[in-house]
Amino acid sequence: MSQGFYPPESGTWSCMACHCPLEEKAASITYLESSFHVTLLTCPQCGLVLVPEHLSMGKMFEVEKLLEDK
Amino acid sequence: MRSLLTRIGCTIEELELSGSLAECCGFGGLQSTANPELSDDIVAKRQSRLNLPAVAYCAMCRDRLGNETTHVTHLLDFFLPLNTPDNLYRGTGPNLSERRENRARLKKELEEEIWHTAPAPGEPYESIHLVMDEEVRSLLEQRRILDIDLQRVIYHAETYKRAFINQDNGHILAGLRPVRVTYWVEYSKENDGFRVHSAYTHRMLVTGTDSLGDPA
Repeated sequence: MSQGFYPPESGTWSCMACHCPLEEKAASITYLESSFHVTLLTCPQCGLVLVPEHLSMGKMFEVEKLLEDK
Repeated sequence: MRSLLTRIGCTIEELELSGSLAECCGFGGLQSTANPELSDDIVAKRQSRLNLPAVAYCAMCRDRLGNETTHVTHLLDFFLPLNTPDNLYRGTGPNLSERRENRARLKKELEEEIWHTAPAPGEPYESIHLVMDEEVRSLLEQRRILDIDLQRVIYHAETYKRAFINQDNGHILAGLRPVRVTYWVEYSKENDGFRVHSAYTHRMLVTGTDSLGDPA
């Protein structure tokens, strides 16, 4: 999976608890002994990470299938 | 099956493909999960050959093949005491969440009426009332997401304020990993419930997302 930046396709998102705008931050993704690094929107205060729908149902789903079939 | 139906006065007409050539809905082999497109094709072909009301002895064939235009009845419905041939169930089968709720209701009834054991107490997230249109319901079916999965996420988000808000339209987006799958729900509050706009899942573990009982 490319180490690119994956923001949601639309919307201006902020953290519900901290009320602050989100920032680009490196996130670690692991599955079946493989790990990847991507940049995702993250709350700078509490660290909650937003995984957007297009990444989840797109690239992540493809990589999950590849790793499961290995 | 043929003998039982004949005994209660039914006239049977065999299908073109019958016996060892019978086309199966494939659900017993989980075909509708493993290869939904192929499964839909097979079901549509089978339905196109059903010109009369049909009887199935397999609950999965009954639910996959039966709908408002193709009438399929389960064999047992002819013999269970509460049913008569005039009110046989022959419509569309339950969706994924209704199927799960049917199993939970059966277990509860068995606990109360047969085993006389106290049913397990309900979970607080069960009180979350969901609202969604047909398009979203169909997406959930396709993605194999249950209402209970959504209720868990929304309850967690609303209780611990672990979610994001879209400033443009007020939608809330929250994720939660109860066991091995992370569920995400985009929703908004509506009267006494929550309107679901979309939901999706991933099995990969992403740092900075919540697991059940683990609000960071």
